[in-house]
Amino acid sequence: MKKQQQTQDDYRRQIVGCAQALAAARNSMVEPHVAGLQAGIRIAMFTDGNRDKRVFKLKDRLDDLSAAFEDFESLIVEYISKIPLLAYDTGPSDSERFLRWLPRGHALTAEQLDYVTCQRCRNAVEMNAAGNRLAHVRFQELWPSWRRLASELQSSTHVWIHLNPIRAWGTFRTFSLLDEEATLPATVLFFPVGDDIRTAVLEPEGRRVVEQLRDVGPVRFDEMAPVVLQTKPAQARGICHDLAEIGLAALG
Amino acid sequence: MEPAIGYAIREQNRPILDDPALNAAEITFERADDPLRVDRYIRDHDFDYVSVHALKLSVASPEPPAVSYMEALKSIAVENGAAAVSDHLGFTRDGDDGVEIGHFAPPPYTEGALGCTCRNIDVIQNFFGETRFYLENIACLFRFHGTMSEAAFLKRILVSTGCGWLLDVTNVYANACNFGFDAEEFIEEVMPSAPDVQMHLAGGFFDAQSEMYIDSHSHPIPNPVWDLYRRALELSRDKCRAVFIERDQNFPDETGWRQEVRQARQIADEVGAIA
Repeated sequence: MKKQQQTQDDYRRQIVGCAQALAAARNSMVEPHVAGLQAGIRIAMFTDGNRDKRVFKLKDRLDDLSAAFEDFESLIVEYISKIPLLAYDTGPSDSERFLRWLPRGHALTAEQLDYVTCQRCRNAVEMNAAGNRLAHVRFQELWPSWRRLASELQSSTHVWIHLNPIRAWGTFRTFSLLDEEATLPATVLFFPVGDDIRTAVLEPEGRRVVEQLRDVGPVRFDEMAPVVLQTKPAQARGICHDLAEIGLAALG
Repeated sequence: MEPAIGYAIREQNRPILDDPALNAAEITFERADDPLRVDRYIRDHDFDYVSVHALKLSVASPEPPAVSYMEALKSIAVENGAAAVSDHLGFTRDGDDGVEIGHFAPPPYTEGALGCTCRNIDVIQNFFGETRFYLENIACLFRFHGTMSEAAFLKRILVSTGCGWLLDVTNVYANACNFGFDAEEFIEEVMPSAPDVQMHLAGGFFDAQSEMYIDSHSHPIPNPVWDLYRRALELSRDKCRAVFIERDQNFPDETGWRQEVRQARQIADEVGAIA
């Protein structure tokens, strides 16, 4: 029993050392553990392949940012050389760490920072959906019936308004990602519609409505109109229609 | 009984998933684990057999996989009616809070590795319950110093844990080319220890510079792999539950997709008819 434990402890030390060395492409540290000829070449093929795969995945995920940087790939390569992939890193997590790392070591322009903000908000939507998958799926299943129920708002006041539960706010300080009609700084709301991520630039009044809907939870239209929207039913119907049309609210 | 046969689902082969030769599907977990996805990954297809293929259980790591990762895997399996989950005989990280290598490396074939791997597979099987776990032999570019052969190591895991064997025929072929052993003998040696079997088929290429066969899933399945597949089916008798073809690059056209799955089906038919 003691010998078995010792064997497994030795194994733990070996794997921890080799995994950390392989993750950082410190190939010479792995070489003594490897059998056969051409060990150095073969380990290098392995770590080069892993680096290339990580570069490819990050480039693919951060494709929108490449337009804002002169040599975006070199930034990714620099990041990879300094920051190893973490255990279970998946989906947006590695790109999110890259986006946190980028402004720390590089002076970014306001335009570039807007691109970073935009991508981080998109990541936040994905991470939020991953953590609240049931709420996301329920909302997305409910949403398609909004058009039929929007017409019922005319006759029935008992329609419920559900705010999209997956949201992320960002502030843009330049027009690089905005129409020129926007007012700077612009508050932008990111939210999913199906597996797509949409954005809405909200004026203070729109933001207030969204925040109140968030605070009250699902609410009946006849209760919502005077309390949340502080407006007459006809105008409230218009607001509900607009929120539902863009996928920020569902009617049920 | 003939195995269910199908593809590892990629967006590029979705148009042919209703081919009559195809009655199984493999879901690559990392592709299905899209937080914004609303529909189930296999959509409205009704396959006879579905398996979820994972990349990060890291069965040969010193620590068992994180429960949160297994829960995510299980939810995809349940959502898609999967009968099985699978992962590779290798390690991709040091520990739970540590670093990720990026691709699985083979463990050293030693008693220490055997003990940790068997314990981890026991943890995985206890977690997944009736959803069967299959362990895949991997293709590797290098091997650590060890005290036993890969075949002996794999046999002892299969016997000790009772898990299924995901026999990647192309990986056996690649390792045989790169490390100089007989692929057919490897399968003959391990097969009796496997309670039941899934199979993977794929095509790679021979890299002249390194003089190695690279399992890149980028080419049609080569003839030696088709021959090995036939032999593996003969050896597995009625233990083979499913066969999945993997393709990740240089995707074929619709005819190409259909041709490979039909060839896999035809060989299984022929082996079944002889048996």
